[in-house]
Amino acid sequence: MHSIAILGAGMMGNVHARAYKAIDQKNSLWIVDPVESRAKAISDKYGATVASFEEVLGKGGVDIVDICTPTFTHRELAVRALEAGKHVFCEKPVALKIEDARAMDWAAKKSGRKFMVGHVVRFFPQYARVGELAAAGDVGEIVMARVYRGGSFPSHGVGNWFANTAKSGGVFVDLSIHDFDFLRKLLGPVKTVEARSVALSSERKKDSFDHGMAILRFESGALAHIEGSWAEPAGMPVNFGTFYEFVGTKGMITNSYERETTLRLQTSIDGKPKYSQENPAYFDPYTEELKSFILSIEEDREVSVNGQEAIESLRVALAANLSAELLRPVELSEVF
Amino acid sequence: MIVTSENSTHRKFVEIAAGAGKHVLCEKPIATTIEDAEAMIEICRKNNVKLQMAFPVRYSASVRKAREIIAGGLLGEIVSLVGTNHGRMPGGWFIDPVLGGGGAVMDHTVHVVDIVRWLLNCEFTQVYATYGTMIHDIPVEDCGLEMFKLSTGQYMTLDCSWSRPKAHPYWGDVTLHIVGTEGTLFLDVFNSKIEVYSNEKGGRWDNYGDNLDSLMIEEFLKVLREGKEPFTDGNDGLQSLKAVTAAYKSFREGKVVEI
Repeated sequence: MHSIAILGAGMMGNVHARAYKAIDQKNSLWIVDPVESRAKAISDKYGATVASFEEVLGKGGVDIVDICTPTFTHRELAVRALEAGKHVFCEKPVALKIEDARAMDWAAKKSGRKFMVGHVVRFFPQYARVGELAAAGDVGEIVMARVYRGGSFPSHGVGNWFANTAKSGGVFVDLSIHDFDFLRKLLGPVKTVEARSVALSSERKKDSFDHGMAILRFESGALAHIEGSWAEPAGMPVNFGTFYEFVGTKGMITNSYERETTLRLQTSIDGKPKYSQENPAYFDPYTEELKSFILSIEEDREVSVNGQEAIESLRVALAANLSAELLRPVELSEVF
Repeated sequence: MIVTSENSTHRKFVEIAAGAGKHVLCEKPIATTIEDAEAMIEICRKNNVKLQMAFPVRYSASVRKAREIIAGGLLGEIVSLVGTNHGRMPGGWFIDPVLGGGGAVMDHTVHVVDIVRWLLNCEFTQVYATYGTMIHDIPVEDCGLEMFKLSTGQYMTLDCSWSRPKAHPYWGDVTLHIVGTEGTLFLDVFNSKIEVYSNEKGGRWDNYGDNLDSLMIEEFLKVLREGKEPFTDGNDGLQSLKAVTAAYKSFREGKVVEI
């Protein structure tokens, strides 16, 4: 049983609150959010106690701080929580700059507390299976990858912060970082990044827009193409999807969200047509991820995604941004 | 005369055909060097014979419809494109560096370049390419990724890899994701497929769509009968080959190069 303070009552705050309760009904939850109505919603739904950040830092009983706030706030919250002796789980991306992420990782090392970053794709079963198949050698050595992750623009952010690239880092840092992290784990260190993006985002425009394409070459010689998109129109029946293709020396592994549907629903209620395609499952990757974090605390083991790994994945995303800005290939060694 | 010989021998046969006053339908890529391509166009012009390029993908009804959608402004302003032309490793002269003139980059760049030139009325102006011999033990590259800049301002990536394993139920694909400010369009030109599972022959996907080669040859016959200009001509072959030769140069120099 743990006492967990969730910072940020947005989309991920809700997902994490549900996961902690699924792990152990007896976990006690605290919720911190400047927007009272959002904090209250989580309080009502999961029995979390509404509190301020200072309050939870001062409470000796709170052993975990879980950061689900916008990216640009991560560093300060994480460092202060670690300094107060809390274990910290931080949503991805770890931060917007390498120096911020380093400060967080350093604070964790100094405090001796656990620090894990939410690269949850590693816990998605259709991705975890790729790692297992690669290890089993069914398709030989994986030498080439194509991955897509995208949909409509995330307009749910408080104050539309995703639209401000200075606060979100844009589509590479916020979204494709999932794929950069997964590919790095699968194929090893990245050597060169050639990327372009079209950030048409503006804070005023609700239906903002960002699309990025990156070509990676790994130290091993492997190649990868990454497409990240916040460019699909809003209001579509299916507003998010992923695709991957991993080519090995003896075969390939591929999957698309379009093939994942186990339940399709078409209704017309009061003349309003509605379409959805889903894949409901009892297995929840977010629960699995947080379970792994809690186990690392209880058994005093290394976390499954530590600060150093998060820094390396952020470096790739920042190299993509730099390449898109300079309009030339960027060596990963240029980003430090 | 229809020239379907090895890439580097196209010029020789086109020169013989044109010299004998025969019209020519030539396989892609037009040649393996810009010099050869320009000579082929010139000799056909001088001898007053037609030179049509075999770019069957441009004859696809889906590609035509995409062009109408773009021209109609449904996607708003086009901002980026992501293309693929995957295939199996073809073997034979395709993997002979002299006869083929290269590997996957030479073989699989030109189809998508050609349809995008037509879809957006653009030329390809810059390229960064990275490739390698990753899967097979062959003397040419089997995988490649390219980043192009278009004269209309957009960037486009292209995956030209021979990365479909033998075990795959289908030979490959031509796809294009077109991203605009008001909408997106996804083309999967050879997706008219049924799945066939045979205890004797294993599983495969079988295409029931329009036969693009037939459409292309019908067009060639029309060019001959009506004296019109080919829908895919020698200049289309030359422009797409320029993108290929620049891609090779980019990899040798490790940087973005002008096409």
